Formats: sequence, structure tokens, C-alpha cells
Amino acid sequence: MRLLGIDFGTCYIKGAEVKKNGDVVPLKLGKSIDKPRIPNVGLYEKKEDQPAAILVGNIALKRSAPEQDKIRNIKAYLQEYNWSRTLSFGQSVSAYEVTRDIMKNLYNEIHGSNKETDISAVITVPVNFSGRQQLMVKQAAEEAGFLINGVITEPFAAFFSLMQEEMEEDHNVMIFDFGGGTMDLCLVEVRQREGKTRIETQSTLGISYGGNDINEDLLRELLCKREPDKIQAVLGPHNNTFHQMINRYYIMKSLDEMKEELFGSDRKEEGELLIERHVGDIQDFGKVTVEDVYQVLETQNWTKRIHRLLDGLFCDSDDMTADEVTDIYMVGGSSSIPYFRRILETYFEKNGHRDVNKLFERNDEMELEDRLYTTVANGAAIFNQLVTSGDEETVIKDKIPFMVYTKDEAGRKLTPLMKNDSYKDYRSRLDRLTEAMKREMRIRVYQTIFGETEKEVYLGDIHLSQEMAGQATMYQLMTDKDRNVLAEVGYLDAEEGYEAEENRFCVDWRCKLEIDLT
Amino acid sequence: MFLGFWRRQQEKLIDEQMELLREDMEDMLNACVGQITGRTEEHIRKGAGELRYEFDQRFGEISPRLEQIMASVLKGMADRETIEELKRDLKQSRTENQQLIKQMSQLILAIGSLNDSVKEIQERMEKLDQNSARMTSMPLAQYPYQMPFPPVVKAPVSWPASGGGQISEQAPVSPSAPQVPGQPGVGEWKPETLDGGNGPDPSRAVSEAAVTAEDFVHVPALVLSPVFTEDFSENKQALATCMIQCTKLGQTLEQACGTDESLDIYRRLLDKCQKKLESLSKKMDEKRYGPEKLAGEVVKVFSQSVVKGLSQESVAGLMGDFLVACGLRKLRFKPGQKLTDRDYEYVDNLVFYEDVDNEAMNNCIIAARQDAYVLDYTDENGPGEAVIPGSYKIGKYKG
Repeated sequence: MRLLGIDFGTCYIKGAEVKKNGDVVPLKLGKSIDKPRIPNVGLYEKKEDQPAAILVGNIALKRSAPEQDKIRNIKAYLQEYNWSRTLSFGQSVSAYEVTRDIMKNLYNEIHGSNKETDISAVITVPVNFSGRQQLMVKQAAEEAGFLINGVITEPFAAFFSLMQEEMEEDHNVMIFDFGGGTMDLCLVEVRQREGKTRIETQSTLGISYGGNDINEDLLRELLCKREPDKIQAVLGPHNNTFHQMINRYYIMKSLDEMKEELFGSDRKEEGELLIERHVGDIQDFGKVTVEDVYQVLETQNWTKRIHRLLDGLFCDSDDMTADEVTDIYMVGGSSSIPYFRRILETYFEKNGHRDVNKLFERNDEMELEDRLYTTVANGAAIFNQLVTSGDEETVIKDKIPFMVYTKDEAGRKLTPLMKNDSYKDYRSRLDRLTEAMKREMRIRVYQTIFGETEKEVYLGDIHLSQEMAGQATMYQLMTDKDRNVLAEVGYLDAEEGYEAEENRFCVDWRCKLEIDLT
Repeated sequence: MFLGFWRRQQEKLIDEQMELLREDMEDMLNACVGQITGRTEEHIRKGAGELRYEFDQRFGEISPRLEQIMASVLKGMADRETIEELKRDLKQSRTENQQLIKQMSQLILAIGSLNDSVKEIQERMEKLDQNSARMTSMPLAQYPYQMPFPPVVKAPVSWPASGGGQISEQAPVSPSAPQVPGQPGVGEWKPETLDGGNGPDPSRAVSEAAVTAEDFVHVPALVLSPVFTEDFSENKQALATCMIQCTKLGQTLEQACGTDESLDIYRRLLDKCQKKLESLSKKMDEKRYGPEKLAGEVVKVFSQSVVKGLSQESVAGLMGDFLVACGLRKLRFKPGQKLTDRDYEYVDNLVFYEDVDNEAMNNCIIAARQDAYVLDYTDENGPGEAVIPGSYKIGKYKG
């Protein structure tokens, strides 16, 4: 059996494979020649008398086709209620079907001609992915042919790659994953107990802000202010929209290159910003210094924002406080900007950490580019290996940090349940739900994802019945480690149960409900 | 008497043409078979590229001859003897083709893991065989013969024009057409001006650009030996060559442009390239970079420096020559060429589309703004490529 990790990113899909000798190597996906990644874009094509087929990757991104047949960022659509797209030839596809078809295409590409070997995979998703999205990704991948050993969050996957050699001692690890589109924070606890290694996520937070947004800030706060005439010349209103679009692309490309020059492996204090123009010469925007970039970041109030996120992260954690963290890893391209490291250092100093420099020791020992770009897919492959090996000495727990709830007709939240909630007043919360059960209602379930702002996503529907109302005294939404079950109805066995778990609600699960994803 | 002379001339002409055709086909197939059998696994990919090139080149030569033969056949339709002779010749040619194709298929099966290019050859062979079959079995009245490949013809190609206009001219697209780096020529994309407003707006219908399917011509790139291999000292030497070429290009730029201040930007780009290569050379010693990493890094250095000049008319030729001198191979996608699935890997993420009326031109190259370049390397996993993608305008069928 082949053991894979698949980083199912918003823009790109990357893969890694654990070889028989234990080495983890990047997986060449699709027809990719020089990069172990392909764009996460699907293109439906239909030839006469044949069912529609999907193309994935560069060909889907670049081939000329009606725009409605190209589906980008399918992950976002997975969380919309009943999303579907009508293709140019009349067929409709749902978000689930698109994900399944993309997975099927990947599966066939990876399999090649040898269809006899099974492929097991662990798929990673961003922190702000809802349970519904995770479940759909899992089911879609399984229907495509993969044997799925888990759908885990990106920073949690990165943990397995970063800490692979460090599992024999206790650690409190924070992963700071700052890529092109998201900033994810994750606390992971490693404990040695009774001969077993317990790896458990303590808390996770994510916001939708990444390197692409930094580029936008640099354009607005630096280039537009410093060289308004030149910006006007390339993006000004006298040009047509098409030229503006192309020139904008070139600006963003040059800003990426400039960031690489300033913060990559060959760091410099200043870099030149030379930007191509679609129909003109190369525009010289002069030298940009590290300090220029920092000033722009300051305008976005990053210190305060990240400190607030970290407060939330530790607040949500069961046992871990900032001064107890032993290791911090910074992954994702944007995390190479030292400005963000300084913000983290300040936070930990402020919160009483004795030796902040030691926090980054292991982080700094790693090869920069490996740490920044390959840890997520590699970690997923390592996680897969751990799960597949049936190693009973390692216990892995990946919790979800969300609040889940139903709503009444007026849009008011019902039965909200959060991680670490003591649920003392569960009975009052359940009164209305019990009533709903008696009336055999079909209720929608929502999930809120915490970040800087709360984001609500629709999870699915649950059918309630009188039988449940008769037995259940507790209704809870949760997932197991494989995200197999999204909703469960439990009942309180006895008041002792409640007391026995240090004011935590203890339930004896009686029946399970599958959320109707249709 | 005159009729007899004319008939003999016709027979002679057909004889000659058939002989030439048969020889060409035999050469072509023998060359294909010879190349396949002579290759080890690690060279299969490259071999396939060469095969494709050779196949196309030979077919490019055969196609006009086939046309001539067909013209002769049509003229000589009344002559039963000539027709019978032609049929015999074709039948014999077909038998020989079949044997060679069978031989080739067996070899391909034996090798087992040839890439798409070889499959493409097989498909084309089958198509050729089918066409031969049709030629020998069909009554001649059903001609014209369906060519397996459209013949090489002159293609009308239009591209965005400078100065606000639009140029539409008959562009020869023969595979042997000379390439003049830096000078927008046949089917190349001339830089536009901002004022013209005639940019490649995807919403703009350009019926003049509707190149027909018959304009198809495939010019795959020749495969050079890899720049980077498992040999550290060779890699070091290859990197040194790049730095030398960088210095040479700087001198050429000085000579060609003197003190022209408008070109100062390119001198700076070149300086940046030189410094980055030097830094890479030092790092290479410390970290013992493998060929794949090295190829990726070199391509990154070029992409962030000299490649910016490839889209600039004044220096594009110099920059292109520099890349070739550093060992990169230039991919010559030509106007009218249909892009295969793999070809999209050589196309930049920013794609320009142009509406076309002819469905056959959908996803065909309309014009090249900037060619793609490939740096070959070979490591323990076999040959690999690091790519500087090209910028192209691609046909989008309006229907």
C-alpha cells in the first residue's frame, strides 16, 4: 500500500509520499514537470456522446474554455448550502461532485497504470474548515478510490513533520502557519504517559489573511504613496481593464520576488522593485528596504491583532499557558518575515516566558525552505504512516475548536456547545430542542469558526423524531477523530456522571445521527 | 502519340514519387525503431521528444510529396494502367508499413513505460496505416486523400499591433523558418503600446485571427544534454559557464547600447543575476545541492532577473541568446500549434486568449509573446526539467 499525504490547499494541491525505506518525498502530481504541486482548479469538458470529464491542474487553469466550466477554490463552495454550478453544456455539478471528480483525477494520475496497489491518504485542510467541509472532502476522496486515514488541519499535519524526531519527551508546541491566504495558529501537547505517547491539539485558530494580502497592503501603503504617477501609469483609469488586470498581476509577482529577496534564504536589507508592464517597458520603483515593509505592516496593527489571537488561543486551551510553551515553529512563506517572529517573541516575553530564544531553537536549526514549504504535505504523509502502522503506543487527538448550534425560526442560536463548555445549564437549553423532537422537525445545524471575526457555516440537516425525544436528554454536535460522525444525541445516564468528570458533562452515547448533506 | 507520351510522363512521375514516399516512410520508421531500441529507461523521455521531432520533421517533408502524388493521380484518372500500378505500389507500401509498425509496437511494449509522445507516434502510425488502407481499397473517384497531417501551408496570423493598429498578414510557419531572437517576426507577438487600446482583450472578437486547422504545424524542441547531473564538479562548471555568459552579456549590452540610459535597467537586472549566481555557487559548496535543487535555483535566479527582459523588444534577443548559451533550451511553440495536456506546463499562469471562429483553432497557439525555456537535469530519478514558462496567446473558440 502506498502512503500519501495530500495538502488540499485553496490555490494549490501538494503531495508527499512515505517510501518503503521511510523517506518522505514530494509527490509529482498530475503532469507537473518541475513543481510538486498543481493548481486546485477543475475544468469540465464534454465531448459528444460521452459523459463530462474533469481536467485538473495547469491544463484546467490555462486551457481556453467557458468560464463557468472552470471551478476554482472549490473548498469555499463546500460550505455553502446547496451550492451547484450549471456548466456551459447544461449539466449541473454540486460542490461535493466537483471535489470527488478532482480527487478521482488525482487518484488516476497518482495510480498511473498500476491499479493493483491501494493508495491510502491523509488530507489536510485549513483550520477554518468546518466539520461539513472536512466530511465532504473525506467522502469525496473515498469515493474517488483513496483509502482515507484522516482529514487533519494543516498546522497539525505540519507538527508531525517538524517534531518527527522529538516525540520521546514532553513538549508544548505552537505552530504558526502563515501562508499565501491564511494565518493559522495551533497548540499541540506531547505527553509521555504509561509508556504511551499522547499527541493532542489543545487549541486552534485561523484567520483569512496571508501573503497575498500583504502584497495588497504594500501596493496601497507603499507604492501608491511613494510613486503615485507610476502607479497611475500602470493601473490608472485611462487604461482598459484588461491592461490593469495584467499589470496588477505583474506588480504582485514582483512584490513576491522582492519579499523573497528581503526575507528569503539570502536576506538583504534592501531590494530593487522592477515591475514589468504589459505593453510597455520595465517600471523602476526604486529600492525597497526591510524597514519600508515593516512600516507598512505596522499600519495594519499586526502586533495587537496577533497578540489578541494568541490570547484567544491560550484561553481556548485546556491546560497550556504561554509560559509553558517549549517550541515554536514558523511555517508557510509569509512566516519568513522576521517582523512576525518579533511579535511572537514580544508576546511570550510579556507573558512570562523565561527563555524566548530557546523557543525557536529547533525552528532555526531546520533548512528554511523545507520548513516553510513542504512540512504540511510531508507531515500528513507521516501522520498516515503512524495511523497505518497501528502503533498502539501513540495516541493522537485532533479536536475541533468550534461552537456548534442549531437555530430557531427567528435565527436565534439554540443549544450552542463549545469546547471546554461545562454545560451546566444544558437542561434549559434542551427544552426547545426536545419540543422540536416531539414535532419530528428537521433542523439545520450551523457551526461558527473563531478567528478575528466569527464566521458561520452551514453544517447540514438533522431529522429529529419522537423516539429520540423520549430518550435523549442531551443533544450534541461533534466529530470523532476521523470526522465520521457529525452529530450525536446522548442522554445523561445519571447525575453522577456529571459530577464525576470535574464539572464536565458526561454522556453515554445512545444513538448517532448522520447529518444529511444533501 | 502525344497522349502516350503524357501517360508515360505521368507513370514516371508517380513511380518516382511513390519510391520517394516509400523510402521516406521506411527511413522514418527505421529511425523511430532504432532510436527506441537504443535507449535505456533514463533516456526514454528525451528519446520520445527526439522521436516526436523527427517524426514531425519527416512528415513535414512527406506531406507536400503526397500532395503532388495526389495531384498526379487526379490528372491520370483515365489511365487504368497507371491506377493499377499505383494501387500495387500503395499495397506494397502498406504491407511494409504494417510490418514496421508491428515491429515498432512490439518494441514499445517491451520497453513498457514510454511517455505520451511515443503513444502519440503509435496513434499517428495507426492513422497512417488506416489512410494507406483507404487509399488501396477506395475507388479513386473518392479522392482527395485524407492526409494524416494537414500539409504545411502558409497561415494567416494576426497579432496585436503597435501604434494602435492591427496587423494581419500571411505568415509562413514552416518548421524550418528562421528564428530571429528579439525581432518580432513570424507569428510572434509584437509589443503593444498603451495608447492603442488594441490589447488582447479576451472579450474582443478577432475574426481575422481565425487560423484554420490546415495551419497546424508542430515544432517540438530538440532535447539537449542535461545542464546539471549527479556530478558535482560538472555542475560547478555549468554554473561557472552561466556566470561567464552573464559577464559576456554585460559586455555585449555595453557594446550594443553604449550609454543609452533607457537600458540601464537591464544592466541592473544582469548585475542582480550575476550576484545571485555567485551566491548560489558559494551555497552550492556548503550545502551540496543536488541537480534538481540546483536547476530550480538557477531558473529562479533567471526568472527574477534576465527573464524580465524577454518581453522587451530592445533586449529580448540578447536575453534569449544568453539563456541558450547557459544551456537552457528554447521551446518553439508556433502559431497554429495545438497544445497538448503536457504543453500547458510550459505556459505561464497569465494566459491571453483570443476569440477564434474556427473550432479547430480552439486551444491552439495564436502568437508567442515570450518563449518558454527549459533547463534539463538528471538525477537518480531520471531526467527532469526546470521550466521558465512562456507567455502565449491561445485561441478560444467563440461557438
